[in-house]
Formats: sequence, structure tokens, C-alpha cells
Amino acid sequence: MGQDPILTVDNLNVIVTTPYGVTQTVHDVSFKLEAGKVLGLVGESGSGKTMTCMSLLKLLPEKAKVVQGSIKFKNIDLLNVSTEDLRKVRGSEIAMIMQNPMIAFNPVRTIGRHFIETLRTHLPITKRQARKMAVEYLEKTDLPNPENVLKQYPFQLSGGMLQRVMIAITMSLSPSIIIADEPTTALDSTNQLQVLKQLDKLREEYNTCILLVSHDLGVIAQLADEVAVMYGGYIVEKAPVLKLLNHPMHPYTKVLLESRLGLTRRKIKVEKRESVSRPNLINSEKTCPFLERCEDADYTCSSYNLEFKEYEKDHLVRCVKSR
Amino acid sequence: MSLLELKGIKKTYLLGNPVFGKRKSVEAIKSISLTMEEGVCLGLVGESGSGKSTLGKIILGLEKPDQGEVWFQGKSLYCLKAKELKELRRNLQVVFQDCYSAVNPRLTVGEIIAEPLRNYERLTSVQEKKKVQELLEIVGLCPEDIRKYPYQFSGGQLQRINIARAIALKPKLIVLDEAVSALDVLVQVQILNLLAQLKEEFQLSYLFISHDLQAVNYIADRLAVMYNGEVVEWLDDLEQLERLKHPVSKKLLSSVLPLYPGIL
Amino acid sequence: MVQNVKRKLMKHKLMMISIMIISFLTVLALFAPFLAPNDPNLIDIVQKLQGPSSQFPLGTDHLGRCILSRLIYGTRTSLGIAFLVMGLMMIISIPLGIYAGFIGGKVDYLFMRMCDILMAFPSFLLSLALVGILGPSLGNLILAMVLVQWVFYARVIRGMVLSVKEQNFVLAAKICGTPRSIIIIKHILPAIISQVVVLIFMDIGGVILAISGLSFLGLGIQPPDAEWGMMINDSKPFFRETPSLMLYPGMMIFIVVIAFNLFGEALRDALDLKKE
Repeated sequence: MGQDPILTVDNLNVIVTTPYGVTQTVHDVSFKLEAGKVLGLVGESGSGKTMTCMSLLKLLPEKAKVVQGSIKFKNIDLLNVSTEDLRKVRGSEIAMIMQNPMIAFNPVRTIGRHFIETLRTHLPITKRQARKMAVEYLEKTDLPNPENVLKQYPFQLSGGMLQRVMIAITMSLSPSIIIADEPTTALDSTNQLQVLKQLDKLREEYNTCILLVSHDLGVIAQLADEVAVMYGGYIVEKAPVLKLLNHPMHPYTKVLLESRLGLTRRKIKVEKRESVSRPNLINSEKTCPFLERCEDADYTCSSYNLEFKEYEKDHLVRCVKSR
Repeated sequence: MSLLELKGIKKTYLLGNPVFGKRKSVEAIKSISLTMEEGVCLGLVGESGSGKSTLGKIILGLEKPDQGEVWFQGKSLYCLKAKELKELRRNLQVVFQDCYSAVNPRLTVGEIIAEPLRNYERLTSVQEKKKVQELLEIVGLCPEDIRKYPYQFSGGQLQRINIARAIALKPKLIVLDEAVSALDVLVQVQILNLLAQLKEEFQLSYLFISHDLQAVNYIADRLAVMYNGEVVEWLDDLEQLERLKHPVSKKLLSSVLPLYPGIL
Repeated sequence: MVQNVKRKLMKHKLMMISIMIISFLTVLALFAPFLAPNDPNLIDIVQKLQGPSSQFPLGTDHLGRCILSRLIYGTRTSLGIAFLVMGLMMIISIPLGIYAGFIGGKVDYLFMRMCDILMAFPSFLLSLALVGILGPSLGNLILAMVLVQWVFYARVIRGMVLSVKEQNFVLAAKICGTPRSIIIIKHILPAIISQVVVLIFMDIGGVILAISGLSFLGLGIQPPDAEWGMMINDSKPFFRETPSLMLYPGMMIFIVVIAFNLFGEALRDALDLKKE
């Protein structure tokens, strides 16, 4: 640590206008990304992790809007940037890996065409050079027979292979930041491991920083240096990975850790009812979003203001009980 | 008499245009024979493309195998008259991976869960409502949810509705086709617990199809590892996972992410 | 965002206008005998090709018939026949499309080949030829149009059914033991019906055009009954002296077709929105 962060997100707030009212999906989210580091963002569906990612690249859907906060990339303010500058940043500086590689590719174009065109829009090189580069980078992702892969169409490759091609394309542009939004969720476990290995390699060789988003703490734990746990639009706990695993402070983090299956056969106890699971984001006041599900909750929980407190160095928790 | 018996099942798909170019044949299932006893949860693991979902469809009577027989409760599934088949179907249910597309978005939860009941049991509307509400409570939802529509539920809750529909007729065998793979980790555990509890309560048998060895290990009693349309390894006691010998099983085993960092 | 709202309002406005036009025309068609100032078929050569007057608000044609009354009665024929044709086509193509798509097999194969053959001809020419062979009359016009075009709709419906059929909830229904007929009524039909309604409204304009076109050629509605296409044909020789004679029915066709197209499109948007 100690180096200048590449991306600083400060106090980000995002609202979404729905037919039923205005919802705040991201509350006071702040984090920093440093070169060569991986920040893991973990949370269930609807916790606001995807919205956070999308706002980094100004890719929010029309109904959503950043109402407060700042996003600084190196020295550029990404929230007030010209379209021209934004285009330069997208792709070559900040790249994104999506959950479903199948829809990220155009089905009627070969992998080679995708790869070469992407390279040539960002770099001043000839077709031949681009092809050579493409082969090189595909080799780095351990894909067998890269020449052949370039000739194939997206539907001829499996999801895991496509995701690796995606990583190869991303790698070739050597961006400073990669946002990986659930990169392994659509894959089976063997492919998941492969993709994680590639991402790790990418970080080591190119000193790229990665924002790894997943609902699976198991995936995050393997790769991340620091983990931020999101719930109901808030980051409820943030800590270096080992600290989080060994001393989880927020009750939600504890539930998450306890519910990891691993290879045990002992039955894991989790709350049975799920009916109250989704935190009510509409009309939410600044009370704890986890209140309804929390086992330790009592009257003090609703009366305190919800601050992000430092429990110890680098370990922040948003829970009144943790003090 | 075992509950389910597959004898030499084989299924080949023809790909490609029948007029232009050669038609490629893909052997989804090469040759599979297996037997399942009552009250057992058989886990079927394999990578994507190993043919496990096709096998599930064959067992459900949705895809006719090219060769081989499916015996369910002592009757051959693909050699039955429509009436007998309908009687047999009663004991054979399914829960799909994609909980959103498994329910008709235009029907209420009450109508969705009542569908199997209407086909097999003659209930008055009062009885039917009572039964559906009971089922909703069994799977951990509120009886008041009966009037709601699918879009009002989260993925985990929808999967509970699918489970309620599957157990409505108290079937013997439920095929769980990647039933928890699309859910959040926490919800996965909840659903797995629910399934385990229902199995005890109603003496169900499960065929649990998944690529995730963790989930299979959590709930299954026996394990079959599939690869390229064949069962490559059997394990009768899941306490001894380390006994898996086949390279495919080992690969699956080694790709399970540990609880702490260090696999990379 | 502002643009989006504007676009939606615009669509909304167009939809309102199209609905108003369509309901106005429907009223015209239903109450034609009460609304028309004169008998549309009453020939009075003395008063031929007159300009607008209090007795004939839009003037008279070459046989001295009231143009306004003929336009009003023409609405009745055009709309009535168009919906009759559409209805007949749907009666044939919905069951057949569903059968071909859902049950498939030999029927599906035969049906597809038939489509291929029928679709190899331009449909308008084909109906033209058919009416030519059968002889010009209202019944034959309807018959020819239905015979030629139902295949197209059946094929579209078959496609819709194919995509619904693969949905898990249909599979689940099968596994629940639900009989085919109930699956079709409860799961398949409701899933496609909104798309079919949109299809009907998007295409009814085309049907009206085709009817007018055939009548213009003298193959459809027979005199003395009023029909817009035929009115245009009648006014051909007097085009130079009294262009309004051709203009009024032309405008009617134009307005009706546009109103239905806009309505169809708005309907499609509205139903799409619900999906989200």
C-alpha cells in the first residue's frame, strides 16, 4: 500500500427511478483500487454491486443516476468527462469482463475478427501484426491451438473458453483496471478455476488492478487482497481478505462465511424463511439494511445512525454492535 | 425392485443442415446403465457438455433414447400407453435450473402449484386452496403468497415455488436439474436444506444433477461422475471423497475452491 | 432521458389520435344509414359532377350520387370486409399454426412445404389470379385473399409457438401430467395472443389496401355498392375536371391505413413494456 490509487471512488450514491418510486441502490460507497491489487466486491443479487460497476464506466441504465459522489481515475473525474475522453478510457484503460461471455460476442463474427478489430481500434498496427499479437495472447491464457481458435465462431467455443478469450483480448490492451462482474458465475467449476488462474496471472504480469465482483465469497477469497461486502446498497464491511475471513465483524459477513459449503457434509444452519430477505430499498431511511434478518438486532440498531466505523486498522464495519 | 433402472441408454443428436454440408452426429450419451433405490439421493456430476442434462430429460420422458430402456417403478417408460404413462408421471417430477422460465409469468402462484393437483386429484376449489397454502408453508413461504405473480418473487423464492409444485403429488422421484446453480450462495444453502428436509419428510428420492461437487456432496448419498456421455466413476459413500480415482473426478475435486485463499 | 420521455409522449399522442380515428370510422361504419345524408346508390344524372352544396356536402359523382354518403358506406364495406378476411384467416391459421408448432411431425412438414410453394408467388398477384379464375364477386374476393394469405399468418404463429414450447414452464406442465389440450389453452395461447393481436392490427391496413386495390381493378366489390377503391376507379375519366372525386376516397384509404399502422405499432410498444 502507500502508492497512489489508480481509481478512487468516493461517497458514491446511485438512485433508480422505478414505476413504484425512487430507490437508492448504492449508498455512500467508497473504495480505492491500487496497481496490482484485487478488490473483491461480494454481495447477493440486488445488493448494488453491478450498479456500482456500471457507474464506473458511465454505463448505467437510463433509469439510474449518480446523485452524489466522485469517481477519479488517475486524475480524470469520470463523472464529468467529455465523451471523447471517456471513449479513450473505456476499453484501453478500464476494461470490463462480463458474466455471460456468450452475449458479449457477435455470433456472426469469428473470434479472430473480434480480436483483431479490437486491437486495431486501440493500437496503430497492421492486420498481420494484430493477428500475431492475438495468437500470442491466446497462448498466454493456455488455450489450446490458438490459431484454430481465431478461426472459430463464438458458439463453437464453450463458455469457459470464451471467457478466456475475453481475458486474452482484455490483456492485450493492457488496461490499468479490469472490472470483472461475476466472471465465473455462468461457468462450471473446472472452468471457474481456469478463469481465476488467468485473472491472477494478469494481475501479476501486468500489474493490473482488478475489481472482482461475485456473489460467491469462495471465488473472491481466492483472488482478492481486500474484500468489500455489500448489502442493500451499502458496503457493510471492508477488510483485507484474511482479516475478513478470520475476524468477520458484520453479522451479514458472518452468515456468508458460515454458509460456505466446501466439502463438508455437516448441515449448515441458516434462517429457514426467506420471505423477508430482500431489504426494502424504497423509502429506506438510514437504518441498517440488514436489520430484519439480523439475529443480534435489538432496539439500539434502529436508533443509531449508520456510520462506517474503523474497527481496527483497514477494517471497516457498518454495524452499531461492532463497537 | 429398484425405483429407477437405466439399461444401456444411448442418445445421438444430428447437427447441421440436412441439405447443405455434412450432418455431424454428436453422441450426447454413449452408454449408460444405472439403478437407483428408493429414498436415495443420487448425485450426478460432470462438466458442462458431459451429457448429464440430456440424461435427466430422458429419465423424465421428454427425450426418447435411441437405444436402451428406462424402467421406472418396474415399468418401461417409453413402451407405455398414454394412460399408464400419465399414472407413472405422477411419481416423477422435476425442478429446473432457471427458476424464472419454469413458471408461467401469467399465472398466479396458486394456479402454478395447483396445476399437477388438477391433473390427478379431483379437489374442490376450497380443498385445492387449502392444499396449496399447506404446500407454500412447507417450502417456507407465506400462505398469502397464493395470489401473487411470479415477478413479485426473488430467485430463491421462485425456486421454492417450483419445489412446491414438484412435491404437490408426493412423487417418488424428483429430478433436480442444476436446481441451485443459478442462485446466490446463501440461498443455495437454504434450498439445499429445504430439499434435504423434504426428502426425510416425504420419503423422496432425488436425482441431483449438477456441475458443482460442493452442492452434490452436501446433499447426495451416492455419486456418479459423468464425462463425455458416460459414467466414469461411482462412489457409494460420500464420506470418502478422497477415494475418487478417475482423472475426471480428480479434476472436479481439485477445482472445488477451498475456504481459504491458496489454490491459485 | 428527456428525449425518451418526449418520444414516449409522442407515441402516446399518436396512439390517441389513431384510436380516435379508428373509433370514429367504426361509428361511421356501424351507423352509416343514419349518418349518410343521401342514398349512396341513388342515381340522378341531372345532378352529375356537382360541387359541394348543402344537399351534397362533398358534391356528386358522374352519376349524380352523393360522394359523402358513398364514402360513409364505403367505410362499412372496407372495414367490414377487412375484419372479415382477417377473422377468417385467424380462424384457419391459429389452430393450424399451433398444431404445426406444438405437435409437429408430418403435419408440420406438409404445412411448411405448402408455405414454401405459396410464398414463392407475390401474394397480391396470386389473389388477383384467383379472383380472375373464380370470377369477380365479393365472396370470391374474400375467398381469394384468405386462401392466399392464411399461410403467412400460420407460419408466423407457428414460429411464436415454437419459441414458447421450449420454455421450461411448458416442459414442467408436461411433466405435471397436463394434457396437451390444456397446455395449449393455458400456457401457449395466452403467451402468443398479444403478439397475434398486434400482428392483426399491424396488417389490417395492408388488407384494406389489397381490397381497395382489387376493387379498383374491378375484381372486388361490384357496383352499385360503394367502395373506396372502386370510387377511385370510377372517377378516372373525370380526373382533370374534378380531381376531388379521386382525392376523397384516396384520402380515406390513406387515413385508415395510417391509423391502423400507428395503432398496431403503439400496441406493440405497450405490450412490450409490460414484458419488462
